[in-house]
Amino acid sequence: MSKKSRRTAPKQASVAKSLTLMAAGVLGALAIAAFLSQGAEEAPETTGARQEISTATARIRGPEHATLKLVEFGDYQCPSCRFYHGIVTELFERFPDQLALEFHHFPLASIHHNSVFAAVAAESAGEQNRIGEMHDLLFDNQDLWANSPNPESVFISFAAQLGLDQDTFMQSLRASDTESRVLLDVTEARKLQINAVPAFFLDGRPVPLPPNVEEFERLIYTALESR
Amino acid sequence: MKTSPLKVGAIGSLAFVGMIDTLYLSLSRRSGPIPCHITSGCEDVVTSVYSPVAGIPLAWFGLAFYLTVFGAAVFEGSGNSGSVRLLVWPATFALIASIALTGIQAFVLEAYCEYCLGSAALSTGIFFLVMSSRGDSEGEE
Repeated sequence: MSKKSRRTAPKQASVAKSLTLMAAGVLGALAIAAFLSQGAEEAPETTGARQEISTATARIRGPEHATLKLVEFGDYQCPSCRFYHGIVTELFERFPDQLALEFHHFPLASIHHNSVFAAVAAESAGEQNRIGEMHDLLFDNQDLWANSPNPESVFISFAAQLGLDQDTFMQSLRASDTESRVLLDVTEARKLQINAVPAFFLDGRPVPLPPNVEEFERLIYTALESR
Repeated sequence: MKTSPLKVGAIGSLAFVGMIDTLYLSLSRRSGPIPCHITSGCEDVVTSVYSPVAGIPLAWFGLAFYLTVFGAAVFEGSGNSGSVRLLVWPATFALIASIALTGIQAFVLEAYCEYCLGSAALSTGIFFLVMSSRGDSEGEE
Protein backbone atom coordinates (compact mmCIF):
# COMPACT_ATOMS: atom_id res chain seq x y z
CA MET A 1 0.00 0.00 0.00
CA SER A 2 1.38 3.45 -0.94
CA LYS A 3 1.87 6.28 1.59
CA LYS A 4 -0.86 8.32 -0.06
CA SER A 5 -3.47 5.55 0.08
CA ARG A 6 -2.52 4.87 3.73
CA ARG A 7 -3.27 8.54 4.52
CA THR A 8 -6.55 8.73 2.59
CA ALA A 9 -8.06 5.47 3.87
CA PRO A 10 -8.76 6.69 7.46
CA LYS A 11 -10.07 9.97 6.09
CA GLN A 12 -12.47 8.14 3.78
CA ALA A 13 -13.62 6.01 6.70
CA SER A 14 -14.21 9.14 8.79
CA VAL A 15 -16.24 10.78 6.01
CA ALA A 16 -18.26 7.58 5.55
CA LYS A 17 -18.89 7.44 9.30
CA SER A 18 -19.99 11.10 9.32
CA LEU A 19 -22.33 10.60 6.39
CA THR A 20 -23.83 7.51 8.01
CA LEU A 21 -24.39 9.42 11.26
CA MET A 22 -25.92 12.31 9.34
CA ALA A 23 -28.29 10.03 7.47
CA ALA A 24 -29.26 8.33 10.74
CA GLY A 25 -29.89 11.73 12.35
CA VAL A 26 -32.03 12.95 9.47
CA LEU A 27 -34.02 9.74 9.41
CA GLY A 28 -34.46 9.91 13.19
CA ALA A 29 -35.71 13.52 13.00
CA LEU A 30 -38.05 12.59 10.16
CA ALA A 31 -39.43 9.62 12.11
CA ILE A 32 -40.05 11.75 15.23
CA ALA A 33 -41.68 14.56 13.20
CA ALA A 34 -43.86 12.04 11.33
CA PHE A 35 -44.88 10.43 14.62
CA LEU A 36 -45.76 13.79 16.18
CA SER A 37 -47.76 14.92 13.18
CA GLN A 38 -49.51 11.55 12.86
CA GLY A 39 -52.30 12.67 15.20
CA ALA A 40 -53.27 15.37 12.72
CA GLU A 41 -53.38 12.93 9.81
CA GLU A 42 -55.39 10.23 11.51
CA ALA A 43 -59.02 10.11 10.52
CA PRO A 44 -60.91 11.94 13.26
CA GLU A 45 -64.07 10.73 14.93
CA THR A 46 -66.78 12.78 16.54
CA THR A 47 -65.89 12.95 20.20
CA GLY A 48 -67.32 13.99 23.52
CA ALA A 49 -70.79 14.39 24.84
CA ARG A 50 -73.59 16.02 22.91
CA GLN A 51 -73.58 19.77 23.58
CA GLU A 52 -76.59 21.99 23.96
CA ILE A 53 -75.86 24.91 21.65
CA SER A 54 -78.10 27.95 21.83
CA THR A 55 -79.85 28.59 18.53
CA ALA A 56 -80.91 32.12 19.51
CA THR A 57 -78.44 33.71 17.08
CA ALA A 58 -77.99 30.80 14.68
CA ARG A 59 -77.78 31.42 10.96
CA ILE A 60 -79.00 28.36 9.10
CA ARG A 61 -77.90 27.38 5.59
CA GLY A 62 -79.24 24.39 3.76
CA PRO A 63 -82.64 22.72 3.98
CA GLU A 64 -84.74 23.65 6.99
CA HIS A 65 -85.58 20.03 7.83
CA ALA A 66 -82.16 18.57 7.08
CA THR A 67 -81.33 15.21 8.66
CA LEU A 68 -78.04 16.44 10.06
CA LYS A 69 -76.96 19.76 11.50
CA LEU A 70 -73.36 20.92 11.26
CA VAL A 71 -72.64 23.74 13.71
CA GLU A 72 -69.63 25.93 13.03
CA PHE A 73 -68.05 28.58 15.22
CA GLY A 74 -65.93 30.66 12.89
CA ASP A 75 -64.03 33.87 12.36
CA TYR A 76 -64.15 35.54 8.94
CA GLN A 77 -60.53 36.71 9.25
CA CYS A 78 -59.07 33.34 10.24
CA PRO A 79 -57.15 31.64 7.37
CA SER A 80 -58.15 28.15 8.60
CA CYS A 81 -61.82 29.16 8.60
CA ARG A 82 -61.44 30.24 4.98
CA PHE A 83 -59.92 26.84 4.16
CA TYR A 84 -62.82 25.04 5.87
CA HIS A 85 -65.34 27.32 4.17
CA GLY A 86 -64.26 25.66 0.92
CA ILE A 87 -64.70 22.21 2.47
CA VAL A 88 -68.14 23.04 3.88
CA THR A 89 -69.24 24.45 0.51
CA GLU A 90 -68.14 21.17 -1.12
CA LEU A 91 -70.06 19.19 1.53
CA PHE A 92 -73.25 21.07 0.65
CA GLU A 93 -72.84 19.91 -2.94
CA ARG A 94 -72.36 16.30 -1.78
CA PHE A 95 -75.25 16.34 0.73
CA PRO A 96 -77.74 18.84 -0.70
CA ASP A 97 -80.78 17.42 1.09
CA GLN A 98 -79.32 15.99 4.27
CA LEU A 99 -77.03 18.67 5.64
CA ALA A 100 -77.67 22.10 7.18
CA LEU A 101 -75.04 24.50 8.50
CA GLU A 102 -75.64 26.56 11.60
CA PHE A 103 -72.99 29.28 11.67
CA HIS A 104 -72.02 31.12 14.84
CA HIS A 105 -69.57 33.99 15.04
CA PHE A 106 -66.44 33.64 17.12
CA PRO A 107 -64.17 36.49 16.01
CA LEU A 108 -60.73 36.32 17.66
CA ALA A 109 -60.48 40.09 18.00
CA SER A 110 -57.10 40.03 19.76
CA ILE A 111 -55.31 38.64 16.69
CA HIS A 112 -57.81 39.48 13.93
CA HIS A 113 -58.54 43.17 14.21
CA ASN A 114 -61.20 43.33 11.49
CA SER A 115 -62.98 40.12 12.44
CA VAL A 116 -65.71 41.61 14.64
CA PHE A 117 -66.50 44.21 11.99
CA ALA A 118 -66.68 41.47 9.34
CA ALA A 119 -69.14 39.52 11.49
CA VAL A 120 -71.17 42.73 11.90
CA ALA A 121 -71.14 43.13 8.10
CA ALA A 122 -72.48 39.58 7.70
CA GLU A 123 -75.19 40.30 10.27
CA SER A 124 -76.05 43.56 8.50
CA ALA A 125 -76.52 41.68 5.23
CA GLY A 126 -78.62 39.20 7.19
CA GLU A 127 -81.08 41.94 8.00
CA GLN A 128 -81.81 42.02 4.27
CA ASN A 129 -81.87 38.19 4.15
CA ARG A 130 -78.53 37.94 2.33
CA ILE A 131 -76.26 36.66 5.09
CA GLY A 132 -75.36 33.51 3.13
CA GLU A 133 -74.07 35.48 0.16
CA MET A 134 -72.16 37.93 2.38
CA HIS A 135 -70.71 34.96 4.31
CA ASP A 136 -69.33 33.59 1.02
CA LEU A 137 -68.01 36.98 -0.13
CA LEU A 138 -66.24 37.60 3.18
CA PHE A 139 -64.43 34.27 3.09
CA ASP A 140 -63.77 34.19 -0.65
CA ASN A 141 -62.28 37.70 -0.61
CA GLN A 142 -60.58 37.57 2.79
CA ASP A 143 -57.36 39.02 1.36
CA LEU A 144 -59.19 42.20 0.28
CA TRP A 145 -60.20 43.28 3.78
CA ALA A 146 -58.38 41.19 6.41
CA ASN A 147 -55.48 43.59 6.88
CA SER A 148 -57.12 46.66 5.44
CA PRO A 149 -57.06 49.81 7.60
CA ASN A 150 -60.49 50.64 6.16
CA PRO A 151 -62.48 47.41 5.77
CA GLU A 152 -65.77 49.33 5.79
CA SER A 153 -65.35 50.45 2.18
CA VAL A 154 -64.76 46.82 1.15
CA PHE A 155 -67.87 45.64 3.03
CA ILE A 156 -69.91 48.42 1.40
CA SER A 157 -68.67 47.29 -2.01
CA PHE A 158 -69.77 43.70 -1.16
CA ALA A 159 -73.21 45.04 -0.16
CA ALA A 160 -73.43 46.88 -3.49
CA GLN A 161 -72.39 43.70 -5.30
CA LEU A 162 -75.29 41.88 -3.60
CA GLY A 163 -77.70 44.68 -4.50
CA LEU A 164 -78.45 45.52 -0.86
CA ASP A 165 -80.11 48.76 0.12
CA GLN A 166 -77.05 50.84 1.00
CA ASP A 167 -78.70 53.08 3.61
CA THR A 168 -80.19 50.15 5.50
CA PHE A 169 -76.87 48.29 5.31
CA MET A 170 -74.96 51.29 6.65
CA GLN A 171 -77.44 51.75 9.49
CA SER A 172 -77.11 48.10 10.48
CA LEU A 173 -73.34 48.28 10.21
CA ARG A 174 -73.25 51.06 12.79
CA ALA A 175 -76.05 49.85 15.07
CA SER A 176 -74.96 48.53 18.45
CA ASP A 177 -77.69 45.84 18.25
CA THR A 178 -75.88 44.20 15.33
CA GLU A 179 -72.63 43.92 17.25
CA SER A 180 -74.54 42.67 20.32
CA ARG A 181 -75.76 39.69 18.28
CA VAL A 182 -72.16 38.85 17.35
CA LEU A 183 -71.10 39.12 20.99
CA LEU A 184 -73.92 36.77 22.04
CA ASP A 185 -72.27 34.13 19.87
CA VAL A 186 -68.90 34.86 21.48
CA THR A 187 -70.47 34.30 24.91
CA GLU A 188 -71.92 31.00 23.67
CA ALA A 189 -68.49 29.94 22.30
CA ARG A 190 -66.84 30.68 25.66
CA LYS A 191 -69.56 28.74 27.43
CA LEU A 192 -68.73 25.76 25.22
CA GLN A 193 -65.02 26.29 26.07
CA ILE A 194 -64.01 26.65 22.44
CA ASN A 195 -60.39 27.82 22.24
CA ALA A 196 -59.71 27.65 18.50
CA VAL A 197 -61.56 28.30 15.26
CA PRO A 198 -63.05 26.86 13.22
CA ALA A 199 -64.84 24.61 15.70
CA PHE A 200 -67.38 22.15 14.34
CA PHE A 201 -70.14 20.18 16.03
CA LEU A 202 -71.88 17.41 14.16
CA ASP A 203 -75.24 16.51 15.57
CA GLY A 204 -74.23 18.36 18.74
CA ARG A 205 -70.92 16.53 19.20
CA PRO A 206 -67.54 18.24 18.79
CA VAL A 207 -65.60 17.21 15.69
CA PRO A 208 -61.76 17.29 15.57
CA LEU A 209 -60.84 19.10 12.34
CA PRO A 210 -60.83 16.63 9.44
CA PRO A 211 -57.84 17.33 7.17
CA ASN A 212 -59.83 17.19 3.93
CA VAL A 213 -63.29 16.98 2.41
CA GLU A 214 -63.16 13.16 2.09
CA GLU A 215 -62.59 12.72 5.84
CA PHE A 216 -65.35 15.21 6.61
CA GLU A 217 -67.65 13.34 4.22
CA ARG A 218 -66.85 10.07 6.00
CA LEU A 219 -67.80 11.63 9.34
CA ILE A 220 -71.10 12.78 7.89
CA TYR A 221 -71.88 9.31 6.51
CA THR A 222 -71.12 7.81 9.94
CA ALA A 223 -73.36 10.36 11.65
CA LEU A 224 -76.15 9.74 9.12
CA GLU A 225 -75.91 5.97 9.61
CA SER A 226 -76.09 6.26 13.38
CA ARG A 227 -79.35 8.19 13.27
CA MET B 1 -8.48 24.22 15.87
CA LYS B 2 -10.65 21.69 17.71
CA THR B 3 -14.04 22.65 19.15
CA SER B 4 -14.90 21.21 22.54
CA PRO B 5 -16.92 17.97 22.24
CA LEU B 6 -19.51 19.40 24.63
CA LYS B 7 -20.18 22.35 22.34
CA VAL B 8 -20.24 20.12 19.26
CA GLY B 9 -22.77 17.90 21.01
CA ALA B 10 -24.89 20.90 21.99
CA ILE B 11 -24.80 22.33 18.44
CA GLY B 12 -25.74 18.92 17.00
CA SER B 13 -28.57 18.48 19.49
CA LEU B 14 -30.05 21.93 18.80
CA ALA B 15 -29.85 21.25 15.06
CA PHE B 16 -31.54 17.86 15.56
CA VAL B 17 -34.43 19.52 17.44
CA GLY B 18 -34.55 22.17 14.70
CA MET B 19 -34.87 19.46 12.05
CA ILE B 20 -37.78 17.91 13.98
CA ASP B 21 -39.43 21.35 14.35
CA THR B 22 -39.20 22.27 10.66
CA LEU B 23 -40.12 18.76 9.47
CA TYR B 24 -43.12 18.70 11.84
CA LEU B 25 -44.30 22.07 10.55
CA SER B 26 -43.96 20.91 6.94
CA LEU B 27 -45.73 17.58 7.57
CA SER B 28 -48.54 19.14 9.64
CA ARG B 29 -49.23 21.70 6.92
CA ARG B 30 -49.68 18.84 4.48
CA SER B 31 -52.52 17.42 6.56
CA GLY B 32 -54.56 20.63 6.67
CA PRO B 33 -54.32 24.04 8.27
CA ILE B 34 -53.47 24.62 11.91
CA PRO B 35 -56.55 26.14 13.65
CA CYS B 36 -56.48 29.80 14.76
CA HIS B 37 -56.05 29.68 18.53
CA ILE B 38 -57.27 32.38 20.88
CA THR B 39 -53.81 32.83 22.37
CA SER B 40 -51.76 32.70 19.16
CA GLY B 41 -52.15 32.79 15.42
CA CYS B 42 -49.98 30.05 13.99
CA GLU B 43 -52.00 29.75 10.81
CA ASP B 44 -51.93 33.53 10.32
CA VAL B 45 -48.14 33.41 10.42
CA VAL B 46 -47.60 30.38 8.19
CA THR B 47 -50.10 31.62 5.59
CA SER B 48 -48.91 35.24 5.63
CA VAL B 49 -47.21 36.89 2.65
CA TYR B 50 -43.94 36.73 4.62
CA SER B 51 -44.10 32.95 4.97
CA PRO B 52 -42.74 31.88 1.57
CA VAL B 53 -39.65 33.28 -0.12
CA ALA B 54 -39.64 32.85 -3.89
CA GLY B 55 -42.54 30.46 -3.44
CA ILE B 56 -40.60 28.21 -1.05
CA PRO B 57 -41.96 27.87 2.52
CA LEU B 58 -39.59 29.30 5.15
CA ALA B 59 -39.74 25.98 7.01
CA TRP B 60 -37.77 24.42 4.15
CA PHE B 61 -35.06 27.07 4.43
CA GLY B 62 -34.97 26.33 8.15
CA LEU B 63 -34.66 22.63 7.44
CA ALA B 64 -31.74 23.25 5.05
CA PHE B 65 -30.01 25.35 7.74
CA TYR B 66 -30.46 22.76 10.50
CA LEU B 67 -29.34 20.00 8.14
CA THR B 68 -26.14 21.95 7.40
CA VAL B 69 -25.51 22.61 11.10
CA PHE B 70 -26.22 18.99 12.02
CA GLY B 71 -23.91 17.77 9.26
CA ALA B 72 -21.11 20.10 10.37
CA ALA B 73 -21.49 18.97 14.00
CA VAL B 74 -21.35 15.30 12.96
CA PHE B 75 -18.25 15.90 10.83
CA GLU B 76 -16.58 17.83 13.63
CA GLY B 77 -17.47 15.07 16.09
CA SER B 78 -15.98 12.48 13.72
CA GLY B 79 -12.62 14.16 13.83
CA ASN B 80 -12.89 16.59 10.93
CA SER B 81 -11.74 19.66 12.86
CA GLY B 82 -12.82 23.04 11.56
CA SER B 83 -16.27 21.93 10.31
CA VAL B 84 -18.11 23.96 12.98
CA ARG B 85 -16.07 27.05 12.10
CA LEU B 86 -17.66 26.96 8.64
CA LEU B 87 -21.00 27.69 10.32
CA VAL B 88 -20.13 31.26 11.33
CA TRP B 89 -21.81 32.88 8.34
CA PRO B 90 -24.85 30.56 8.08
CA ALA B 91 -25.46 30.94 11.84
CA THR B 92 -25.14 34.74 11.60
CA PHE B 93 -27.54 34.83 8.68
CA ALA B 94 -29.99 32.55 10.51
CA LEU B 95 -29.87 34.79 13.60
CA ILE B 96 -30.58 37.92 11.53
CA ALA B 97 -33.44 36.12 9.72
CA SER B 98 -34.85 34.92 13.08
CA ILE B 99 -34.80 38.44 14.53
CA ALA B 100 -36.50 39.82 11.41
CA LEU B 101 -39.17 37.10 11.37
CA THR B 102 -39.89 37.44 15.10
CA GLY B 103 -40.22 41.20 14.55
CA ILE B 104 -42.68 40.59 11.71
CA GLN B 105 -44.74 38.32 13.99
CA ALA B 106 -44.74 40.87 16.82
CA PHE B 107 -45.20 44.16 14.97
CA VAL B 108 -46.71 43.40 11.56
CA LEU B 109 -48.85 40.28 11.96
CA GLU B 110 -49.42 40.63 15.73
CA ALA B 111 -49.72 36.85 15.78
CA TYR B 112 -47.26 34.21 16.91
CA CYS B 113 -46.38 30.76 15.65
CA GLU B 114 -44.89 28.64 18.44
CA TYR B 115 -42.89 26.51 15.98
CA CYS B 116 -41.36 29.64 14.43
CA LEU B 117 -40.53 31.10 17.85
CA GLY B 118 -38.98 27.77 18.83
CA SER B 119 -36.88 27.80 15.68
CA ALA B 120 -35.76 31.39 16.41
CA ALA B 121 -34.65 30.28 19.89
CA LEU B 122 -32.75 27.30 18.44
CA SER B 123 -30.94 29.35 15.81
CA THR B 124 -30.02 31.93 18.47
CA GLY B 125 -28.56 29.14 20.61
CA ILE B 126 -26.65 27.75 17.63
CA PHE B 127 -25.28 31.21 16.82
CA PHE B 128 -23.87 31.74 20.33
CA LEU B 129 -22.42 28.23 20.48
CA VAL B 130 -20.77 28.60 17.07
CA MET B 131 -19.34 32.00 18.03
CA SER B 132 -18.03 30.72 21.34
CA SER B 133 -16.44 27.68 19.67
CA ARG B 134 -14.73 30.11 17.27
CA GLY B 135 -13.12 31.64 20.37
CA ASP B 136 -12.01 28.16 21.52
CA SER B 137 -10.34 27.50 18.20
CA GLU B 138 -8.62 30.88 18.09
CA GLY B 139 -7.38 30.37 21.64
CA GLU B 140 -5.74 27.12 20.62
CA GLU B 141 -4.09 28.60 17.55
